[in-house]
Amino acid sequence: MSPLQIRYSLNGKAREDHVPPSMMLVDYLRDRLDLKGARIGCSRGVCGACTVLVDGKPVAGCSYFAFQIDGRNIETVEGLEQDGKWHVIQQAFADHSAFQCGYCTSGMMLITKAMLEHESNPDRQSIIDWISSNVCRCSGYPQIIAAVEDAVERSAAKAGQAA
Amino acid sequence: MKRVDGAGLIATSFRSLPAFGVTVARDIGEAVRALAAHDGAAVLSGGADLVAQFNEGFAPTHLVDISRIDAMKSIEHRNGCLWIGACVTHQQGSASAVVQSTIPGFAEAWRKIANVRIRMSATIGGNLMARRTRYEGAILLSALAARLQFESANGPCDIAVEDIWDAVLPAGALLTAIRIPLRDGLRLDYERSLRPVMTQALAIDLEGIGQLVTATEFTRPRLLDISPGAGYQPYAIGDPVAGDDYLNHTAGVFMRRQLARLAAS
Repeated sequence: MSPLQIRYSLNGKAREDHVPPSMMLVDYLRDRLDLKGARIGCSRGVCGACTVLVDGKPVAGCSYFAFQIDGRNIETVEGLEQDGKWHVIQQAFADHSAFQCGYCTSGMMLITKAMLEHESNPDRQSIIDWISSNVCRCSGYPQIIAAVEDAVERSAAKAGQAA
Repeated sequence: MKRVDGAGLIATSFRSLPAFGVTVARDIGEAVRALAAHDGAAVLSGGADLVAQFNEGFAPTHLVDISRIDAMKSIEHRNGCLWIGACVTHQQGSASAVVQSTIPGFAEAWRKIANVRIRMSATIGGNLMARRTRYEGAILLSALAARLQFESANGPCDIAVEDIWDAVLPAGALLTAIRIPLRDGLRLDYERSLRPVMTQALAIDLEGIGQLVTATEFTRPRLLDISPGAGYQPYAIGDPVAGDDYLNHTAGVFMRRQLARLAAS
């Protein structure tokens, strides 16, 4: 089948490409663009290790065709760091050691980013609801929740400084 | 998993998808024409279930992407009904002020489907058309006596939600919207505490006319008319996990809880 043309924004930069209809977004990112942050886990859209943000919305890259990103704004974990400085979410995860094997971390950080864009001041239950979208097979949820709570505070403080 | 001759059951993944063509439809007409032109074409909306179907062996030669059709993402009142576009996501629908104010309890029940990430992508239309007994859209909408609106090259058609399992639809029929007829005081309660063993939706209006829908992970939702004078209509709801006696007893316990909650609401 003919490749499909896509024009999109990846971590703030406009790009253009052609992709086979059946290519999944996670394969496109990992194999074509060499962005390995989105991991392949369950391959069924359940575990969330392959989470990327499409127009700010978290999607499972293993269940989202690459052609669907045409005209969309894509954010991957590689785009969190800006000008050599970690994002507050990355800093919070590091400070709380919110990873064991680290396989789920990219997805967890992007879920956190999506949450912060939809809810500026989520309570603990709301954080748990969002984080429950993804799976940590090491079961390090207490550290992850603590990191997300910290990221919420840091994000609010940063927003306050900017205001 | 899928069965392959000579190899038995094998695990498949998105790495082994069959080749297919794609139409990215911009409106309902374009989608219907594409479905008519490609026999057996699949429909892509949120994509939450479609890739799972691919992994189970589904192998269409063409895909019609309807995710960019804005007309299928609206929620509105029209002609005494609540219309919900088939491409409305669980997140959009459950957060809709129109849904929340029109049918008390429906948005709260809808919000319980899946998790945040999936709710932001998965659509109510995909939930229904996947025809999986463990999906909950059909349970809630059956209780509300909703009807499904389809468009096809041969014109529109309309079926009850509970007929989705067996209805023979026109070739290339596209689910465009869900229509819920509104009645005075219509409200819904959804009991989900025993999921996946059993869930139960109860919708009732001011005159006491309503439907009780009992569902398990493995069986189609069962509808029971609970309107005054309807009488008791015994039916088998047992499934491979739990027997008739247990589920019938539980349905009664749930119903008492639900009626109490609805009376208090």
